[in-house]
Amino acid sequence: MSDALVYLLGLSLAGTALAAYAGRASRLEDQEDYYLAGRRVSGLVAALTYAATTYSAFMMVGLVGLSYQGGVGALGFELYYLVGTLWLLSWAGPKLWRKARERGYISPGDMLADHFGRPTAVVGALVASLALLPYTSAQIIGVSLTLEGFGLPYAAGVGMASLLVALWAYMGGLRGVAWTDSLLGLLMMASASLALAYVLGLGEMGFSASLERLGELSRVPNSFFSPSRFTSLTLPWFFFALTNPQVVQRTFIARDEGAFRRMVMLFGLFGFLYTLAVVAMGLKLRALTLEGLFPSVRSRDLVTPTLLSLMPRPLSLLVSTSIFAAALSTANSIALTLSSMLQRDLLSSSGRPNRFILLAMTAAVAVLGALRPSYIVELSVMSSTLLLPFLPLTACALLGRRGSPAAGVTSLLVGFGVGLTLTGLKVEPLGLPPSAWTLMASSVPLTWTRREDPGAPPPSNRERELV
Amino acid sequence: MRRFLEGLLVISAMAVPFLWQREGAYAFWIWSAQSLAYLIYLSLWRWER
Repeated sequence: MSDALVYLLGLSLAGTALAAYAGRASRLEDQEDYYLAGRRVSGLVAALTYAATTYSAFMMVGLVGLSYQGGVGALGFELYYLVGTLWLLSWAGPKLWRKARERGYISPGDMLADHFGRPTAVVGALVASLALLPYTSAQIIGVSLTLEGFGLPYAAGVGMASLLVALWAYMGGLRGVAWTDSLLGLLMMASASLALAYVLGLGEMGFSASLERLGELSRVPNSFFSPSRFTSLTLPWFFFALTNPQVVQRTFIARDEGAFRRMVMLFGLFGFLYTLAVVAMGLKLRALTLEGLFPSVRSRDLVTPTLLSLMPRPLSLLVSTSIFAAALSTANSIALTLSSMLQRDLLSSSGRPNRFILLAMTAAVAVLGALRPSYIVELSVMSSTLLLPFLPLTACALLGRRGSPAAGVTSLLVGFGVGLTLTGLKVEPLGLPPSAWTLMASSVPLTWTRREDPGAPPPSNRERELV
Repeated sequence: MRRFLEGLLVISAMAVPFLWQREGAYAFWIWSAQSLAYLIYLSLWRWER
């Protein structure tokens, strides 16, 4: 058995044991328990699952390369995302948490249905699936390609990753996902710290001196990060906390107000340290290239694989396993959230959790990952823009505004259509990025909303079914 | 509303490396310091009703 397989099997067995234990602690016949862990998650576990869901394999592969190629602007982009998320969570998060509890929301679509009618939730479930399935497949593809470098066949990588995504969520529901996410999140942080320590130890120069060597890459804007490119990258990610259903649903799970607050702060600490470690690695590697101590890498996606090929084998395997972990933790959270949306919003089922939907969705992800159609990566890059139409609807709900189903459905469809067209054609009318047009287009149909009646009782399950 | 305005202030302050451009470690440390300061500030916030 190869040493790479030993690492992967070790992680798989530990995660499966955790998910099985979580399954024993869950009531898998109850949607609230299966999809939200009964709203009884501690601050620490909620923070780790939030972080592991948010930070995908993009960080260790894509962001290291982006920092290497584009310089310090990559830090600005990622920290704008972090500060934006902390801002939204500290301002809107408590409202979301309280509203979800008072009105019994389980999927993010329940909030849309409550404020804009059931048809909006149905379209929302479809839009979220179309935007997130290619993104989830891209996670599986990326990680399988990385593992291929360690002698694991591509198809085996896709099969193993998809199986674990389905298994952990199937066995333990959100509790299983959250507990395994905690394990994976800690592994991600530990391996990033060790990898950074290794990279900082290369060469004679200290880190600040290395930044001095980078020239124009140490400032923004520069030849890579033009103001337009920086804005088009940052804008969709800035609102991630309110546009991506898998993280919106995580604001429902904290067991009390104190746990919610701890979730926000610990997630912020994790995000800050992880971002700094990953970006510092990319910048230092670029300085090492200028010194002739690290190969010059032309494609930014090959920076991390090149680093892995030069590291001591145990460290290299640990970092590869952490990339696998990051992809798994993002993919299984998305799969479970989409399952809840498809069951509750699309099929209007409030009965026992339908775990077949989860299996079907993971199978679709695996098939897309195995076939690797050329449009998958293109679509996954678009996902953050395609989810932006959820922002005006969520903002309206948070501000206590209600609208007609026609307004909600039009907002989603027009925003999705504009985002898909402009991003697909790579055009920027009037110099504005597609994300800005998507936001504007999805906001217009919501101009005529009305204030909700604060005394209205929460909808009963029977009412939900009738609607 | 106060939380909203505080966030806007922090986000605006993060534009400083764009407006006052200098080469070297400046942008890296100023963004890190701003984000950490915001995180510490938020750790002191009280739950708003």
